[in-house]
Amino acid sequence: MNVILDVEKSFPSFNFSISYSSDASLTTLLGPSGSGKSVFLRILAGIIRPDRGVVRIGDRVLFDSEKGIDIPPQKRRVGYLFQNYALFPTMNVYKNMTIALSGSSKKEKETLADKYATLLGIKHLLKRMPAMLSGGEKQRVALARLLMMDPDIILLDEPFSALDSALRENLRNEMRTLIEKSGKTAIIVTHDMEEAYYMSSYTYLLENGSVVEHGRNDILYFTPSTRRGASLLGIRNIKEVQDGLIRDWNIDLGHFKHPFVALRSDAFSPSSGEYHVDCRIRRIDEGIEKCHYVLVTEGGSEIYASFDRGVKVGERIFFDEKSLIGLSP
Amino acid sequence: MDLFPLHNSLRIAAISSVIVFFLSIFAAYYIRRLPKLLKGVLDVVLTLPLVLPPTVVGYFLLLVFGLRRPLGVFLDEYGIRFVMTWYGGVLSAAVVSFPLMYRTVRGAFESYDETLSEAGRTLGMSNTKIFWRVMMPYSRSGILAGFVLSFARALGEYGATSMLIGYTPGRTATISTTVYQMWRTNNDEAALFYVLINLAISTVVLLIANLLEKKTRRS
Repeated sequence: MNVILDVEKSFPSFNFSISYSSDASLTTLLGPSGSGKSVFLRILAGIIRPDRGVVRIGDRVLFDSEKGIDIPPQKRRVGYLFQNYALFPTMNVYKNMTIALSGSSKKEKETLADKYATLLGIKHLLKRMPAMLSGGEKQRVALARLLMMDPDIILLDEPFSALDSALRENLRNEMRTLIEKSGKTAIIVTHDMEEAYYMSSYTYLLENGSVVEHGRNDILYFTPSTRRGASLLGIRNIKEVQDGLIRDWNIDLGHFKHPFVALRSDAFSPSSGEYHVDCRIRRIDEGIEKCHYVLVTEGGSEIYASFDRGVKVGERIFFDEKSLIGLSP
Repeated sequence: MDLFPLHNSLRIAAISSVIVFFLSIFAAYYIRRLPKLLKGVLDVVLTLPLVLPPTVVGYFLLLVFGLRRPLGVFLDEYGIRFVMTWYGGVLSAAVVSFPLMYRTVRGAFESYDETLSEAGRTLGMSNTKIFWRVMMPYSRSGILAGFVLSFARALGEYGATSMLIGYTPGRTATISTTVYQMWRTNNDEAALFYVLINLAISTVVLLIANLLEKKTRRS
């Protein structure tokens, strides 16, 4: 389902101004904290009212400042999975799931709750209070609760941040399968790149309340096209190119049409490649599989490179033309 | 022994704490969302009766509702008279006990997790339903504590009450005004009787409060 959010909203500390349109069934909003990801979801859900703009899901207009349309959250059919899951602490799981169903008989509620409890594997938890549930269980209850309302779209706000890392990977799998099975469009907010890449097929990169860059995951994560985008995606070697020259590294790239170039830290080789840089080792951070090197060129500029453990790194490192990522400012 | 003061005190405390219950919840709910400055001013005004001597509160009440004051005269034309009537005691008890309930409820509402309401709204629950089914149960121990406190305060109210409704046996006498009156007239035995009654009620109220608190904590 096509989702359009083209709005502006000023806050005391920052301006939120975003133009978003995605047809992907799973889209990620990726950005550091304070980038406006949660504001995005809250505007879409109708919790925050933008100053101006349009919000549309499919052919339903949820907000249009010019036409004076502002559908209340109750009628938006937007399922919101809150970061802390927002289960009502004074009700048991069954009541949490059914409290919002008005106008249904007791029997209908039971049937529906049973269906979703089975789907999410939480049937044995129905009588428990939220305080007695683990993080993963809470998440499933919250998801069941919102799926029962049959929303048009699901919003997931940092769905895995409250869970420990072993659980996280399992749940990521499970959640993705569940969303795909439900056939619903979902937007996931995260600051974790791995998660973003895995959970969706399309990503919007956000910073300071605006979109830095967006694209299909298989392109965006490997070849971002802007300097900010590359930096947000964790690429640390970003250099200015003047007349085909990376001055800091003393390298002539010949015809290179972009004003900036990025190189991932794993793009370097200790032994061979089309280009080379002379440098010395400043620091080595040993990781489990890779060692992360901070190298310094003669000009004093730093290079971040990672090599497999046990590889001998000398005073010259190499890279190939194909690993160069051209960037606009 | 005349049991009218007991009856009168209980009805005054009961009615005033019910009024205070709704008023303070209403006030706390709306004031918590106001801009900081306005909130601060209202907080001071609404808490004043807690720190002012009750006789000063009584003085103000007479200033407003006295039978020679415009509002008092106006109300008197409709047969409503707060001076020297038992329901005047409800007014003075309510004014004095309001801040206790208001502040406790405000505190409870302020620690309320607003995302619960947001979740309720995205799930399609009306704001009224969210208030009664989510927010109130969430804040129930604070609200209960405030209710008990304001009831106990209303029961023990003396200063403002004696100024506004005085002491008329069989009409406006409350336990606290009777204790003073009995003591003043050297009727020590009667004074002790009412003292013991008051002690008994207060003990029961506090016991109930403790039980309720334990129950909420367990669930």
